[in-house]
Amino acid sequence: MYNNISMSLGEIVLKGRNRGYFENKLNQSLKRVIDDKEIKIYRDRGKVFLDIDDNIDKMVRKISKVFGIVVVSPCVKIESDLEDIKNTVVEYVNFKKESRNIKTFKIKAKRADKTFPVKSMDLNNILGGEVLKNVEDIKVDVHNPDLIVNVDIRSKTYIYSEKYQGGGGLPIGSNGRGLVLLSGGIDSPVAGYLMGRRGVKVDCISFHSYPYTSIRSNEKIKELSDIMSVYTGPMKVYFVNILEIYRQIKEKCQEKNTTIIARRFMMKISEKIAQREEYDCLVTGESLGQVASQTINSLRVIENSVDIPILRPLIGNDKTEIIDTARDIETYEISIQPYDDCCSIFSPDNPVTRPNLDNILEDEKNLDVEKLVEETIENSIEIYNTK
Amino acid sequence: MAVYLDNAATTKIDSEALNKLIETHKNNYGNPSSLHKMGVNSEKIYKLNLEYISNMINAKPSNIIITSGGTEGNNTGLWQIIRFKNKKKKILTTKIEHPSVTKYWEFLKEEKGIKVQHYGYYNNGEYRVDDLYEKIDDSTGLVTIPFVNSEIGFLQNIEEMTQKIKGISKEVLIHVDGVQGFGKLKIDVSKLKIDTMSFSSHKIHGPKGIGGLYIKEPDKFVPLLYGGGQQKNLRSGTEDIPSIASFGKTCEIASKTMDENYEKVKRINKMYRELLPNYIEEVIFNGNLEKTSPYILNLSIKDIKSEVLIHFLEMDDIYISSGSACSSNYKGISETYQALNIPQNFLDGTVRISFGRYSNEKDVKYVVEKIAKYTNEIRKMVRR
Repeated sequence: MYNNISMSLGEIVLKGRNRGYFENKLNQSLKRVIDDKEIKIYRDRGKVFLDIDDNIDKMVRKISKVFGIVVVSPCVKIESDLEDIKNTVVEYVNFKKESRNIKTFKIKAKRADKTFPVKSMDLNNILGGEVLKNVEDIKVDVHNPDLIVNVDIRSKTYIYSEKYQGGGGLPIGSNGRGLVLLSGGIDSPVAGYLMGRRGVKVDCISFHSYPYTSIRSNEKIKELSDIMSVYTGPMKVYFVNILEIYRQIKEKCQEKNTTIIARRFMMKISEKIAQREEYDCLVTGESLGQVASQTINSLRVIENSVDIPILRPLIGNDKTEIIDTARDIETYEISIQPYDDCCSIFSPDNPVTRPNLDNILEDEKNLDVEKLVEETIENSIEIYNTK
Repeated sequence: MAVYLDNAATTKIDSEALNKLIETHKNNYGNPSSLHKMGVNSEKIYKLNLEYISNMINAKPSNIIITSGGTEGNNTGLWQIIRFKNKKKKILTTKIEHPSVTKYWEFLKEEKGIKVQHYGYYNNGEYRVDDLYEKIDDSTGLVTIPFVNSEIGFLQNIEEMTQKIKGISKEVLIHVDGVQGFGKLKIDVSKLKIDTMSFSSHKIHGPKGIGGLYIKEPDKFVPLLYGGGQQKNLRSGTEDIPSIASFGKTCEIASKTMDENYEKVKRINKMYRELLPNYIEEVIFNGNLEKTSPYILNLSIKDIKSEVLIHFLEMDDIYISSGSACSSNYKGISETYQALNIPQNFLDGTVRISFGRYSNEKDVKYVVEKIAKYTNEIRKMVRR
């Protein structure tokens, strides 16, 4: 019976004069997931709708992942005509009774279009009476009904019951571009997802040290980014081989500093690519205190290597919270596959947890940092485009 | 051209066997159980090729069932302990079995109350089994023998073992995991007192997903799979005629080339053992050539990580393995390696080089040089 899907927008509504810009970005996201030029997206007094006859469930599931949308509902769209509304509501209740046991109901009418001649309260009474008269074996229960029939009157009228949660946040692309440092662990895909939900159009960068790491760990990164892209839209993944950097660190720097110096290189390389490809920020999955390179001290020393803003959406999250989100977005199962990521083979046995910036800078003097960054990008970058 | 030295994991299919597979899929797709002519034709192909397959180990076709491969064969072999209905509950097994044996006795222990006792120990390049015989008692229902161990290649003298076991008790069932030996080393079941023996096609350049089980006494056999009653009720499931035809072809070729291949891989194996120490310091060979199958060469290189060596070599299209491809998916060290007591700083650098019909003497020096080159490189990088 459904022939339409309605979508409520979250924070976009608050955006005042910029609203058009945000709605535009949302439109782009919707067009991408709908992937059918025949289906038209339109606005009707603050809400977004689309006409669709087939595969409504599948489409609702897809739309529920779009950032910027708070609620998605499959609905029945009709003309805003009282007789039509009466008949359709009766038909709708019968239709809902077919699929589950409904003994009680409640009508919840709302006029977004105040020119409609009947007030909401009166409509509730009229339509409720109509249902009682024409549907068998059903009663009104305003407190705890089996079925709520929402009647949403706009330039057209929309009848619906289910309200599915949307992706929330702001539409992708409405808040600049970010480059996510994707490691293959549990945290960084979640970080990318969360920044995507705040409207950042994200791509990823991933560091490896093949042949000291395996081809499989890059495949794992590709799989993770494919899943992330369900939410963020298509992404690029820059693969960068930093083996030569590890080689030189090993040769010329103190072993205990390996991780910190390597992280500083990853930042510098990411910043360089960000400058070239016009990303506004870097995004990392760091969570305070989780490992040695994620103490405040370490973060400061790592951050010091670049000027670009580094967003760390997980900084205050517990591991369990991060895992919950990773499970929700379905990256968890892939993240826990046990391939060595680029950290594990070169990690020192006793890494510094309170690195001293001066010491690190002194150690780095033994390396030609700029040249190494340039050459690494020049020689090793490979780009993967998500499915 | 790839230098493929991971033949104990799987092999490249022989082109004649591949043609047979495709041709049969195209022309003889009938179900051998069907009454019509196409069914009859498929049945003929089945019978003919079952003969080729059973000839490989000098068995009668009626003593062979076709399985999905080595794992099913080993599971089914161990399952035979059920014949004793709780009267005999002990399995004697080694610590160098394939996971399809180990995981199955773990299942039997958990679900059927089967008891398990280990025999065998590592000594000076071989896996000795002389402690087996004193462990056989009234409760012993089944003994498993890994004919050729898949990681190190340890070889067992089945003839002597089965003689002695049956000498102590005629009732004890003997299951042989024949997967790494079938088609490579001579096996004549008519002279061996074994009850079941598993084997597989893809380890000898045949198609994947098919293997077999030798069964000495089909009338006492307890099937693992039940259904349409195919293969004389011993193993239900529609016969995969194209794979059987292809496996038959594979066996035909393997029996013709067995001696020649054996001599060749033995030469190659020896060459590696002689050359490698000239190029790399601190390498140890796990297992004596005389007490292992020449098809498998296992060695440990000090202060490297075998996985890294494998990735370096793959860049040159050289393919070897770290331990057994099946157990290297698990973290931690396989029982076989624990039994060996390899020194800690060698253990991480353990690799398996395994040969097949397409292995070549002329590749040896090239591979050794590459291994040496990358070993030096890795030793520079991996901190100790």
